[in-house]
Amino acid sequence: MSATRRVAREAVLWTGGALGALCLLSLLAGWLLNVTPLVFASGSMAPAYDAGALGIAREVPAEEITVGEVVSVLDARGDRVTHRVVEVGATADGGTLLRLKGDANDTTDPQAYVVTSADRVVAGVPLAGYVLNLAASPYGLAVGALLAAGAIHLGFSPRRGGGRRATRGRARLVLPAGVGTAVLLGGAVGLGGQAPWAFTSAYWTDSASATVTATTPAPVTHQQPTCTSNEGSGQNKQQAVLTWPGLGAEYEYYWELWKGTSPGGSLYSSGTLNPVNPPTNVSLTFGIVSGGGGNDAYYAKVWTRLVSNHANVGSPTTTLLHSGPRPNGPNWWMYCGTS
Amino acid sequence: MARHEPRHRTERRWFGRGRTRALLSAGLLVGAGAVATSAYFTDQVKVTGTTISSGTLHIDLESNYRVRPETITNWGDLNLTGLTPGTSKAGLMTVSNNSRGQLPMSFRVQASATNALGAALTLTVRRGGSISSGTCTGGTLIGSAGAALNGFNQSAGAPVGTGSSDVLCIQVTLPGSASPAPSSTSNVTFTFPAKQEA
Repeated sequence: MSATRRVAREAVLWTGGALGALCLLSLLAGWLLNVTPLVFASGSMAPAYDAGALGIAREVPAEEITVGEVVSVLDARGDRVTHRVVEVGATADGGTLLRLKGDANDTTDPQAYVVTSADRVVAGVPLAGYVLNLAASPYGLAVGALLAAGAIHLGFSPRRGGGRRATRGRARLVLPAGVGTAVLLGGAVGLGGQAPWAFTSAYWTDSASATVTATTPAPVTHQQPTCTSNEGSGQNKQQAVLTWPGLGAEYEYYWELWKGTSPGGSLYSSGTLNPVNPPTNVSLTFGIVSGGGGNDAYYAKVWTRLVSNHANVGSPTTTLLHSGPRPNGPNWWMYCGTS
Repeated sequence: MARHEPRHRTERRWFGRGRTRALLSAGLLVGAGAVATSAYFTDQVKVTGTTISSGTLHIDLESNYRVRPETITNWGDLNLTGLTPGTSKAGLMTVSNNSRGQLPMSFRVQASATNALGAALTLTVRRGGSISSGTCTGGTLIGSAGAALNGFNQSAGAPVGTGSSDVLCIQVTLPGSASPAPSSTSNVTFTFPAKQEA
């Protein structure tokens, strides 16, 4: 065997042996000590744990978690998040509610996490996460498997040029069987959810906001109504109609009809008109009042009111009216203006 | 056998024949098997395929660039002064992912408004929509149309890639049934919390 070949053989054996031992140790540590290696996939925990850092986390019950610790939990979608605890609360049914925030994030994570246990990060190694990430990629797995297969082959196969021929036949069977068993064992461990290493998204958050001030127009009052004396058909159809432009949905109109000379007299009737949106007009119609025979002076006062609290806006408008005889008959009608 | 004894003796100086190391190497196979299965057959913990990105997430509005966090006061594209019942006002907001590094982001649209006027306002947000006579049309509706503005909190949908931006058409309506007092004011805030997506 040449020196080069021997060096290569030793290199494969040592690398494979060391990495394999590391794998077995981390599996053992995971089982016995509940220790999990975490890879920080983003810089949201910088500068404590920058992107690519390897964190060592130990599973602890939720009661032991305090504010300020860095813990790793699973979010609602099953993604792992490793951030700093900013608030520990309790749910209604006695569970523990954690609010987390990345050190480099300005905002806390949008969701709170309900946990019974969490992985507390106890140590960190910068950049080591890149190595573990590479090793866990399909390419890294293939290289690892090849390395292991090569090391096993070199370690157990008989020397070139003879010797130990008796074991050769047995080795042909035992080696593939051993390799297969190891992979299956690992597969079983993985399927059982016992693989101790995990990659943590430790995601970034950011926030942006814009503000606008909304206003409504300043209060307005309705215009002085125009009065029209309408001659309809039939009995008591002569009416005085007050119209003015509607102001919008936020305004209603309160009116009073007084019998007498403004500002005196006696209140005859009153009422409220519903909001009318522009450009539609509001109209208020006064016919001859009950028992209102004879030549009498009337006047109508109209207030603009807010729908929200029925408060008057500004001063009322006053429109003078009068009752007078029908031109060709005995009845008395309502007209605009003074008699 | 005897012929080969000296060769074995010389190899022993190199830390034995390597059987122990070969056995330990089998640990790599166990590990590889464990990682591979939990990565491809268990969805409980996502193990492999993670991209480590050393960038910084930036959600930016309008002309701002990589400001963390940023606030636009008196956003000029949406004019909500002099609102009368039954009117709608709309504005376009550009939301950009200006992250350093490859960091796709998802974001939410949140809105709040103060006072009685704010409680009466409704909101319609259309991602990729455009303004047509004071209302938003086209694009993808976020949440429901005409939802209460105060307390609005909806996911904006598909993530935005790094360097990409999205236009949100934001329509604020004071319903005709509302009767806010004149000279009312309300501070309306639109917040866009962003989260890094894998």
